[in-house]
Amino acid sequence: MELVKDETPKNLSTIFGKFRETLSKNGDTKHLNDILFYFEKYLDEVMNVVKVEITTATDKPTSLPAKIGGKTVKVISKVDPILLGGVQIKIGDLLIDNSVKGRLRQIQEAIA
Amino acid sequence: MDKHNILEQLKKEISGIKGTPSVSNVGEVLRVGDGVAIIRGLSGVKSSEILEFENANEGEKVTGLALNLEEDTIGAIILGDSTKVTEGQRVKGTGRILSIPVGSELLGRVINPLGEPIDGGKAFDKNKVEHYPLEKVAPGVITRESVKVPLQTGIKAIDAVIPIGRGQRELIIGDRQTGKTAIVIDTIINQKNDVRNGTPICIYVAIGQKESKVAHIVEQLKKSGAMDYTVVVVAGAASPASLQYLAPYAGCAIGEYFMDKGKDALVIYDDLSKHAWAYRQVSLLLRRPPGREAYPGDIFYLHSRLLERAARLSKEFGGGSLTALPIIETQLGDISAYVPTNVISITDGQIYLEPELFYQGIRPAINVGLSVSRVGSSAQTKAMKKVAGTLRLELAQFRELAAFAQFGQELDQATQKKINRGQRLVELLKQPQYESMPFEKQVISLYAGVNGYIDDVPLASVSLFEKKLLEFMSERYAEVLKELRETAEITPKIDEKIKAIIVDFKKYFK
Repeated sequence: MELVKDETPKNLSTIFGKFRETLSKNGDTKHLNDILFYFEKYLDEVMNVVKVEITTATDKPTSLPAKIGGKTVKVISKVDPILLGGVQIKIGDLLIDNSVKGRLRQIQEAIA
Repeated sequence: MDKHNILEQLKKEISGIKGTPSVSNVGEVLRVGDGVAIIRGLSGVKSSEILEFENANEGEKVTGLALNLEEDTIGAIILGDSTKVTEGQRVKGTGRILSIPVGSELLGRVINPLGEPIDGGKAFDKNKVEHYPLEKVAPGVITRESVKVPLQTGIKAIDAVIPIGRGQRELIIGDRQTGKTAIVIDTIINQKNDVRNGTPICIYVAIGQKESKVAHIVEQLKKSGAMDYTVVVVAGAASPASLQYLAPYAGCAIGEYFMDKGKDALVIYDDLSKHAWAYRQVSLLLRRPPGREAYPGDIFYLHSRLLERAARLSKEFGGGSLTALPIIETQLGDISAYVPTNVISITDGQIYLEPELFYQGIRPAINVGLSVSRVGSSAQTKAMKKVAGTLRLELAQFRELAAFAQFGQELDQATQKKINRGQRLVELLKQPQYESMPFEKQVISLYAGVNGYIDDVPLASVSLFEKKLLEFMSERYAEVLKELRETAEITPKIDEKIKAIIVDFKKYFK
């Protein structure tokens, strides 16, 4: 991040090209997925961004605060009809489940 | 009941359930294979926490056990159908550790290491069972007491020479097909005959055994009425290694429940070699560094923490006990291999079975010289102590002289006499399977042996002599047997009586 901050887009592509070459030379291309994953994580940290994944049963616009605890909120909204209703919010490894499906499972567990 | 009523009932039931948004810790499956899953995320997970793999088609739940907590990933073993776990699947931490239902409900049942019945019977009533964790720290020094109550196996060679006490850990070791399982099954069956100290609850844990063998054992236990006080925990050869690894801990937890209730329990691990193999598989798949014979570094601790849970609790702590009889299968009699030496050093003695003896027809094929019980005679009744002391000495002397036996007539009188006596005692210690003998009868037959009453009986007729003598006694002198059973001591009075009876019997026996 620090390294490429001030570079122009043209230079960037050569930098990434070289990075790719280094990877393939060292036989590390299989780690590309991991690299991307950790880079995104690192990027979020540096940019002070918190990713919030919101899943709803039907597409409905949600109004959300743009900032939580001084961090910029980046919303990824998904639609999954299997939830039936309600909402599932995922922040990092934390999952808050307030969907109909989740409630139904609670009932199922209580009855069984 | 019409459908309106049913609806009302359902509504009432459901309205009682408070639905709150659930907050959980999640991750996703990165890699899966061979019953092991590598998971990313799940940052707050604890070691040996139960994980739930969220199933897309909401079928049966697949659970896992977090074993390796690494920097970015978590290594978990899958308990159940690993084909239902896929890459990218969401995994939830439950915050619970692995536990098993325990209680009297389990008696007579066959269960898997997760506590689910697999005998086709009904599920356990939730209100009648408690839950015990699979892994528990063994009872401490203050809670324990020395082992002094005998656990009668009903096998003469063991009860007389290698006595086992309640709360002891006695290893049964030997090659395949030497009668290891036969000994423990006979022991379970004999427990109902123990009127003096009460019948302990028996738990038979089958690890990596053929299902057909387990079915046969359950059948035998049912037939002899032993299933009433027995629980069978099975992780068969087809079960995933993760379940085979958990099976002995499940059996131990069930035993601990009865011990905590102040009762006696006996748990049999058949066998710990296969358990070590299962753990080796799991460890290697989780990429833990292999050590000697490719076993992981904590293979000793694996068995020591399990066997340490066997204990005799003192009166203040309920006075219960948990006896452990682990079994180890050796390869070609090699007791100095890694796992056998480990388990030998953990246990309070071992019963060593030899194929040579087995083929010579000495069954149970116990090598009396190599077998020991470190608890010793404190776990024997006074009557048994009296006959067993002489028996042990005579057998030891016989072993020294046995090599000379082939010279026959060239030996001096005294030596010949000792060899003669030894051969008859060895003959007397033979005992067929499923014919366990109550302790008072053992005492009588060994009494006849060590006091020289069978020295003039032909070698081939020794077992017949024993059989007829015991029949004769229970028919005509049942009160002497009863007195012996109740006092458990050979008083001078009983001594006189037994002598008279045997002399009397010998007149008939020709």
